[in-house]
Amino acid sequence: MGIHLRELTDVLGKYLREVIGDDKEVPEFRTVLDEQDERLYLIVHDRAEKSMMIAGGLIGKVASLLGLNITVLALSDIINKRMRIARNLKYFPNSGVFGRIRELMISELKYPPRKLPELDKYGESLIFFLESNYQSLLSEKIGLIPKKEVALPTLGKWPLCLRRAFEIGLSEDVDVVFWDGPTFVLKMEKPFINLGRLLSLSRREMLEMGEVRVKCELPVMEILRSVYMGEIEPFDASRVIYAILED
Amino acid sequence: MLYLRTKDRLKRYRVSLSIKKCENLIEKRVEFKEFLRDFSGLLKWRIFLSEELPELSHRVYLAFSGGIDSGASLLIMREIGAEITPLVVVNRSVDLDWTKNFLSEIGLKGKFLNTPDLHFRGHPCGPCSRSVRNAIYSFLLERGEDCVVVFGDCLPTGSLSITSEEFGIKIALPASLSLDKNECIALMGREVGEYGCLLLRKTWRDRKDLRKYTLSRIMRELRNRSIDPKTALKYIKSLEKKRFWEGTFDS
Repeated sequence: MGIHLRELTDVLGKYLREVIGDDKEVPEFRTVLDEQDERLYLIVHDRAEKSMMIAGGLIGKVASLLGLNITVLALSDIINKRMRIARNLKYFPNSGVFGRIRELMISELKYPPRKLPELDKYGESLIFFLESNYQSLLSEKIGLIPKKEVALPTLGKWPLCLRRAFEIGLSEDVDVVFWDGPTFVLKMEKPFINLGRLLSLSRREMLEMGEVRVKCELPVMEILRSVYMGEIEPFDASRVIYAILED
Repeated sequence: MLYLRTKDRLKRYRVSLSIKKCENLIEKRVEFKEFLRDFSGLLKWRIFLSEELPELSHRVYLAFSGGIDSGASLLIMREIGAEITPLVVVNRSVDLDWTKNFLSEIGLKGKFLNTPDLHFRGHPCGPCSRSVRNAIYSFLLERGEDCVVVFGDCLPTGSLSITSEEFGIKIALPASLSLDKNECIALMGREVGEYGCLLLRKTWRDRKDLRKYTLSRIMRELRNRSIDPKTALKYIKSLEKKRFWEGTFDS
């Protein structure tokens, strides 16, 4: 992009002040530039400031003035994400399949920006997905080539589809199963891992990374848990739950 | 109040933002220096940065709706010695009898502010909140003196929990302390049944389609971690009596 980050931050602050007006405080923020993706990350302290930045199309206006993609993040969310990833690192030693997943976790600890590893081919994986096949992309990045992708809803209703996925996964000749189930089941013949949960990805990120999308129904408590963990945004969750209540 | 102290990382982070805001405001609003210093002591005590619970012998106004959050705020401020004047904005969302009884039981005399009747076409929470804020701000501006007002908001955590206003300082107490609903309930010693106030529940009966906005609000509280998933599920069930699949991965 050829723009110096400090100059960009100064200009961003100036535009935010113009758009917010003099009677309100401009929240403190930091910036991280992803030159490859042409994206500017604007990091504020907490979700309340993030809401303030996003509300009324404020960031949209500033982004169009600057001609950039801007993503607003709350530092409290980043801290939570890093804590969850770090807590699970101890289950993934630095060898074999686990070592590859560990590299993925370590790269995600440095988000933003997101720089996924590019590892050589090591083995094969099986993918069971609910809404998006994002785990196929992540699996390929760490050298575990997806042998097959299966949409969980095709295996039956929740939670029976998970049981079926478990049976199929154990019978297939693969090194690892990536699924939209519990975060990890490691003490079986092969590990069953939910990369989205392990890396604390949001539903939006999962949908953006995937190429295939399927409509599915999650149980309400599962949606609530996902909102609490920061995986689904409140507005998206409320629409999904409202549709369930209306059925 | 001892059980209010916390080592939860997210809460400590949020309260530390409130402490930093206090320190910034001490420089900008010198007339509130003493109050902010003492209030900062409460924040530090909450997250184990200070061992002593401060004595906050200042006069504060407190916006009291009769709900759990404003009730808990009132009890905390009373516990630390603040001289509280509860302000009750009289509208259709307030259970006046309960409010008067509660204030009388704890020995406080409230100031009741009348407002024009609420008119709204959609969801009532936005117009009601604006009406309450305007009524309280007008009252405080008319006083013509520097005031501190405490609200029972739990969402604007961190630096937005304490703001400088024309009349003085506004504090969203549950937000500044990063209190969650369970902590507020424990303080009040009272269980929460249904979500929302009288006006909101009446609105659902008349306009079922507006429940989605209430759902959105519940989700925002959940995302903010002011409530946990079990409480959110209880609230959703109070919105809709229909049975639906609740389960989790474990079931």
